[in-house]
Amino acid sequence: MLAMLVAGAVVAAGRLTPPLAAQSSARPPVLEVDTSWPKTLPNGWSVGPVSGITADASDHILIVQRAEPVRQAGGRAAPPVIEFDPNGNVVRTWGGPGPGYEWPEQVHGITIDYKDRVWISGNGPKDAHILAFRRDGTFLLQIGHSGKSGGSNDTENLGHATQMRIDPQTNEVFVSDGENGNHRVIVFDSDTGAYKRHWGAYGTKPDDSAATAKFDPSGPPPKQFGSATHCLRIARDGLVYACDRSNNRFQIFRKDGTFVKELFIAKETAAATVWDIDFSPDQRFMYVADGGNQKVWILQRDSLQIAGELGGPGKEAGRFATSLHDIVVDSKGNLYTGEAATGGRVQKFRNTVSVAGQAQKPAANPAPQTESAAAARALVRAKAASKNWKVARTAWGEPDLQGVWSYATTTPLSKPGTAGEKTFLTDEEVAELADQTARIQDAPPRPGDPGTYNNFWWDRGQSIGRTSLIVDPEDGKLPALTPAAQKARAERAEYQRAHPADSWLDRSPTDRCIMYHGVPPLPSGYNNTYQIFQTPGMVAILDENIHHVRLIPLDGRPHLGQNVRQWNGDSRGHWEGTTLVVETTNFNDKTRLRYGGSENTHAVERFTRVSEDWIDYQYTITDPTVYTKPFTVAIPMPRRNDRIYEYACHEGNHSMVGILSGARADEKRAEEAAKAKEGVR
Amino acid sequence: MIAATVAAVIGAFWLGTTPTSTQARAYRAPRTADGKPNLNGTWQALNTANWDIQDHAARQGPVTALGASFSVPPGAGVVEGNELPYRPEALAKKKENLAHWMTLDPEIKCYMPGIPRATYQPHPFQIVQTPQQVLMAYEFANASRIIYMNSTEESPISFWMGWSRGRWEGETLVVDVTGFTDQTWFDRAGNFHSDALHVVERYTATGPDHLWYEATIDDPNVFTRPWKMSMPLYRRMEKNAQPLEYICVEFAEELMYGHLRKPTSR
Repeated sequence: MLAMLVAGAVVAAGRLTPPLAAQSSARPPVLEVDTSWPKTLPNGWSVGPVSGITADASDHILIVQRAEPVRQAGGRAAPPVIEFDPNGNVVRTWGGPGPGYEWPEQVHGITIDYKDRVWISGNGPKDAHILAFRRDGTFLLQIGHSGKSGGSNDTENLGHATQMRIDPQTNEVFVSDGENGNHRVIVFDSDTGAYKRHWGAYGTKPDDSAATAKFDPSGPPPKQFGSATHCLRIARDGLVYACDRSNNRFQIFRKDGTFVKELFIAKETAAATVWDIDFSPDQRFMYVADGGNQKVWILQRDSLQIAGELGGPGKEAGRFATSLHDIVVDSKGNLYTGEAATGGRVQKFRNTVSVAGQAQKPAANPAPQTESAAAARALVRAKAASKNWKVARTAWGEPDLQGVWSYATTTPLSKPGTAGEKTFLTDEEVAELADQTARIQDAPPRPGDPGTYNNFWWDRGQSIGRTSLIVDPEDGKLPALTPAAQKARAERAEYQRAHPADSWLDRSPTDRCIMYHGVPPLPSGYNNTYQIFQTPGMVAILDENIHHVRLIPLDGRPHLGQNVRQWNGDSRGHWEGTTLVVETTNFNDKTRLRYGGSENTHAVERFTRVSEDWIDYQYTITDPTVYTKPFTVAIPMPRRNDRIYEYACHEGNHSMVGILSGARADEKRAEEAAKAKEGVR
Repeated sequence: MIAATVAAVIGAFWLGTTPTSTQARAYRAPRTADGKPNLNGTWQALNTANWDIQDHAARQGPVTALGASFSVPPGAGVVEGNELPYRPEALAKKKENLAHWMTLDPEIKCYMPGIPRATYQPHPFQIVQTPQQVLMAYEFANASRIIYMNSTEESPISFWMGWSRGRWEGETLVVDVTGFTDQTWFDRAGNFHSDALHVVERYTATGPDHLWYEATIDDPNVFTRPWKMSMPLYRRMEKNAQPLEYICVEFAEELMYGHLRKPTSR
């Protein structure tokens, strides 16, 4: 079934939070998904792949979408062009073949310009032209002719043009041209269609025969645009941005075609990562739609440093299920996204900070103020925010994650009931929590309790500024247990109450010095420390507790056989852009991590170095045996300028002897007391 | 140290199993990005030194029920010259250790094995070599140690796996290890040391898939002079070779705590 523009299909809200430490003068936009936009389409219409999206000066949003897949699926297809008002109501629809022009075989781009003209391009097999209409769909102009494409140096026809932008200063139309066709930017007069100039990558003459379809991230930067010159955007300062989708980069030109610079985005993912570009209203920030990784990157436009991201793969609101294809920002800084490929969807991400820097009032009937994994990612990136920092690389070109990193935090895994609806904590609340923790740890033990370390010995770290480490589900709580897991857990708890220390098997793996924080780890009172080592083809993570080394091959080898089960599972890694992704399976069913776990636990960890001193660390646990849905944990890790020393746990485990001896002594005393009682009677 | 050198040379002559220094020098290992010999990989000794670092004949194993399967395999020793220069009182303790091996050997309790024993236990280990630090991750007991390269930092306290500082001498990774406890042994034959142990290890690639390993042992509390052991280490060639998890605590708990369990416990 195709994704549809129906309110009922909306699941939950995602949100991108502001970087905490970012300076207000260069504060990235704060966006949260607004599920109230758009409203349900009239006439039972559905949309197909949304290949183009544009905004006019009064914040009406126009999309162009491909109706054919909807028809093929038996749905009621909406007309190709749909115009929404700022509240998400459909105010006009049009499009399709008509007299005097050739409607594209497959629509692609849409733009509304300063003269209220709507431009449409197509990337169907024969599409070699672009069209201009009045806002109501009245035909104005056609440049090029269907089926006539003569390649990247043809000045009369296009070749699967993707996008058009009109420069109000010169009244020229700039065209990115095209997808699986030409490899260039071409400029015409927007009133007459007269050819002005064109250029290829680096501002040179394009050469279709030299363009390569396959991008090699480790090779030299391709000299030609790849298989899709996929977007074009003109900034107010006159810079022209062109997406080179399959080469994972965009290039920046002056309006005359002079090359300025280029930037690769998530280069190593080897998927197409640069699909569309737009700017924040003040043009200090730019958004890059990455339909390969299903996210929107936020960059500082001057430095081209990544300042944040939002989205991520998923059907939920705030994520992108299929190709995130096109984006647009309205005058208030709200971001709209169009998804193409198998289903279509448009989403709105509300800018929560007005252009003047004041928080906008929430909508009258706001979507729940909930967060997604992107929120925590933004949080750590924010802590990290360092303007000129560029990810350091190892000698063989991988992002350098090496060093000692701390995952210590007092933030609980699951949001406690006392936190209510609250998700984020203020700096004052974080400080108060730290005081409170110290007071509790320094409090004397209750009578009869031998007590434990005082605050001096603990090294719990700080709150991460949230009420839970879980960032997904949105409520910050561990998902519900499956009925089988509930039963098993209840039985285990009951057994444990009756048999607290019959043998070492009744004690936790921690008491037994078998495992401590687990894989992936949950922080405890001390030694929440990783040291990461990298060699070509291998990442090793030394966890201070209990001197556990995780060896993570990156050479693509399969996991261990299903019969090899380990307390710490079996990890395999790969790079996605600058992120190290580690998948761990083959757990045994005895791990009893604080979040449970079974042989079916599947963990995906993501390590992204976001500054000299921070790693954005997140992981997602999927375990259908125990949990009714997956959950994602975020633990930002600061660097520690310290060493990891050997933590000999089992070798000095006097506690186990103490626990078992104590239990036997208690039993003996109870037995003697019973006998004495018997004797008295 | 002169004595050690002499002993080593004589040892090499006697045993005739060590490659000559010329052979060792003849091979130039592939380089890492920083131009050092690349020793990364999964390595394992293939000998019986963990049973006894000295020459030993096959003998009956300790568990009658396991018969031929788990008896002690024979082996030529790895100690150059074979004899260990024990002080008289220390030799008595070694004999005592051997006699009560099954209650005294720290390996049986899954304690971290120390250096050099971790190198030649019958388990693989991984070398993860970076310019400033080399991580050695051993399968047995999940033991590990970090070798700090070109460091002058002294051992702050004692460690089961010692305190390792490394340097490159041409083709050879030289590791100076101090800061030991007196709790680890050399083998299952009761050969032991004190916390004054000082080990100098040398790892030299002699081919793409072989390392030559030497360890010079100095412990004035136990031995009258330094002595040396040496052996080849073999690269594990299986495509999927990797040290696996051998968290042996589980296998030692009954032995260590069995007397404290409740008779009715599971």
